Amino acid sequence: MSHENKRRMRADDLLAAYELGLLDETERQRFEQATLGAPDLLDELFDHASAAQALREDPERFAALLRETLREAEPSLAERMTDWLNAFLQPKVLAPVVVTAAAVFALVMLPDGDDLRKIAVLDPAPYVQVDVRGADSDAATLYFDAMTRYTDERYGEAADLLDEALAVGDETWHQVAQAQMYLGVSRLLDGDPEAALVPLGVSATSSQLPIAERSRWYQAQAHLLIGNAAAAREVLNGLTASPVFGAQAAAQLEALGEADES
Amino acid sequence: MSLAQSPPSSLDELCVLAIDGDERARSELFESLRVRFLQVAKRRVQGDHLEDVVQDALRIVLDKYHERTGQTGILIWSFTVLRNVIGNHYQSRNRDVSRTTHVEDWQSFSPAAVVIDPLRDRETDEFNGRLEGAIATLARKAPRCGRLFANLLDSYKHGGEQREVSARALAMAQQEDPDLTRNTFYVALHRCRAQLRALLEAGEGSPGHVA
Repeated sequence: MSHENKRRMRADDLLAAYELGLLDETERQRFEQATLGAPDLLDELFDHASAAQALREDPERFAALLRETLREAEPSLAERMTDWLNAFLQPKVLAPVVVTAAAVFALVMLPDGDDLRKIAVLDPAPYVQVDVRGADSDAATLYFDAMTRYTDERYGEAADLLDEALAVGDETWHQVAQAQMYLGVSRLLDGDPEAALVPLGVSATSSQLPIAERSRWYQAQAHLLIGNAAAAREVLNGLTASPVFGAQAAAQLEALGEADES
Repeated sequence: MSLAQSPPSSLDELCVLAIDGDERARSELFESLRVRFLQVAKRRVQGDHLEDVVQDALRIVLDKYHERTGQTGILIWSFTVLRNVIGNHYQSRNRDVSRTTHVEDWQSFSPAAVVIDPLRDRETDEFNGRLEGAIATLARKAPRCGRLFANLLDSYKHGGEQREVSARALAMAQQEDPDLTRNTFYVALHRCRAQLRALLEAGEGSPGHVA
């Protein structure tokens, strides 16, 4: 972390990281110094000390509970199809009717080999907007504005701004790969899978594995929406070892196999 | 490493040095804790009892800090001791006064904080039950927070030094959110912690609560 970034972080932003033991020696020392002039900060630590200690002392217990709860809360196939239809079908009032029909179809019959779009999963790539105080370049400002649109689900506007950000960003801008990925995802969610493939192809080669893998996942979805089963299969095969996308990739490959058989 | 040649150290570093027999580190550690104990306790304990409560808590910390076996930092651990000492103070005071006495400065403690053994919260099971409830509610209401905490707890399970645990938790979070930097990871964690705290305070983890 650069000195500049450290300076920008407010002490209370580090509170959770401190009590959960994530700060290095220098950060810990700085945070503790900051508590001396901040009784409210000490109060926060004091009031939450029992919870912080419990999490540190028995992580397995709470991790298992979290995993189980998250598993139970995962969206069902029907819910994911609703998301897909809400993004692509207009008017939206028709979506519940079509979802019901599609769900019945999916349950009773194998997927139609000619309609690969039914296999595609189109959840928006997660993004948390964080206030960047004093964004240091035009590209960073445009990126921030774009991602504000993205989180508001205004994907077309987000894509246009990301295009602009990439046009003005120079080699010192560190968010090129992210911008390419979110540009591709925005194009995809805006209903233009062909336009999505170019930026996703770029970000899929990123040296940052999380970006590369997620880009490949959305590449596969774009191929499915276009109807290119061979290209989708090739990308999905490369994702089966991924700890994040492996299970989903395997499920889509299976669905593709069933579609072939039918 | 002697403190004479060293820059200021964190409390955990001082604790390590003190356990290794560095008397200056030990003195500095306890002075640092005393200052913080006073800041916290003066908001919760009346003036004429303040010094006694702080001294009691410090004495327990001094007696037991080298026997700690868990991963909790010294300040957080010491605060749990102070919480329990303050809880005991109020419990004994309440035994001595009539039920109608107004305990105006006993506001930020739940009954669970009132204990006998300052090192072992007799209400630990009850508290952990409430914490479990709050965590499950958090995961349902804010799945991203649930995943963030789950990743962090998984990283603890894999063990290693602070740097390793921290880097691993960040890398796991980046699998879901590639845009996450170390700074934004800390900020996200802070916001999720605030939500967890709000759920605990709202009693959403309490037995019988239906989320």
